Amino acid sequence: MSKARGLADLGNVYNDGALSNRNLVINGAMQVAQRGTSYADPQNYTLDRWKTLRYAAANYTVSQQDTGGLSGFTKCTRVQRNAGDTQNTAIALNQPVEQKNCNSLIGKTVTLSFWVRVGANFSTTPTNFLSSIAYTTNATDIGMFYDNFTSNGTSLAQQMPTSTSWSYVTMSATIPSSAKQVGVSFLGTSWSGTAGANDYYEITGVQLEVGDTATPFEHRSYGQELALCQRYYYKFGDGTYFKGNYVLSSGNGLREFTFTHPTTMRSTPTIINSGTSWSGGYGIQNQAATIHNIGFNVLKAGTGYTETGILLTGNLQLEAEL
Amino acid sequence: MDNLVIQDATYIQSPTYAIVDNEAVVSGYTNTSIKATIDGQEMSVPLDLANRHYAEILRQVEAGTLVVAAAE
Repeated sequence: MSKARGLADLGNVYNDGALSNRNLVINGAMQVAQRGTSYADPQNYTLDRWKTLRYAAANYTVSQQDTGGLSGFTKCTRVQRNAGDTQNTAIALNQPVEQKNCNSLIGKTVTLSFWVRVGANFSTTPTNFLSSIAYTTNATDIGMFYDNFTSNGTSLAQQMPTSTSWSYVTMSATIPSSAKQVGVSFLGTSWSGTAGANDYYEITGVQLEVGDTATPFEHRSYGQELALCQRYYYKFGDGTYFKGNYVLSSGNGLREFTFTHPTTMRSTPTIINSGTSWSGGYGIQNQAATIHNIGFNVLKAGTGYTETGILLTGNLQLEAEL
Repeated sequence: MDNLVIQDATYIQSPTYAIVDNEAVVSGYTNTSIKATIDGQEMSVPLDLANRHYAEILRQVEAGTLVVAAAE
């Protein structure tokens, strides 16, 4: 790109109202993976903020992969039909944007940009391989189902290339003033035959921004990206020692712990307790959370202890996704 | 609508207190969350409409496919 063209694009972006914090997509570079890096038949959130669904559910894998030298990006999400699978049903990767963050998009032209490539055995065609900008007129924060919102949704789609080399793709659409929430998705459907070992698509560098021009991907630091993700999900435990004070309740050995979340969560989170206990087998009791913190009790008989921390086995996960 | 498989849903209660003779005493219990197994994982779901798991529990209850048991 020439310097003159770059300056012209910059002026256009300025007119559209966003020179910084342009990207409404979180974890667009697919770096943050608090839940793990490989998921079998997930039907749920996978890499942070990215949800995958397959109609009929089974025989697919989502994983974080290396891009293999794509300039500016080290990681991508791979959505793969398992080798030997004979189902042809759709597999989608989507990210709904929280309603509070959509105000700048409503009534505007927006542009989605991303990088995509497919595996050597990719078995569907561009007609059935689609990127989408979706919106809903629903007034509450909701999630997405395949390539659209779960109610009152419209999905504006564009075909994607099916090259085994990385392709840069952009698409623009106008979000009507009646919209309340916006999201993006990538969908492969009508897969054919028996899946080979490399029947997949990979996506990275996803950016959704106001305006009719795709600007270079806005790289945030890993810490910034992680903090944005933790508004929707975070996990603690897994053998980590937490130094935290507790209140010893009335001589019965009930220790009452409170931990503040790393950031304020989107909504009151669900607590997922994966066999969590204090080292020694003392189970977690009476867990409860707000958008700001989580509290729980541990019953350990006796009052003469002087611990000021807790070593958790298993983990606690806090989830406030859409 | 989501694709969640929800089983063994039970309300969890917490005590409410009243001040009697300048002391806090338990005056009753109120539902504060739902314990359920969702997609094979045990979860504690808050009674918050903005929470996607609670929204799905309500949808399945309304559809007649799920019953949330009273607190034990």
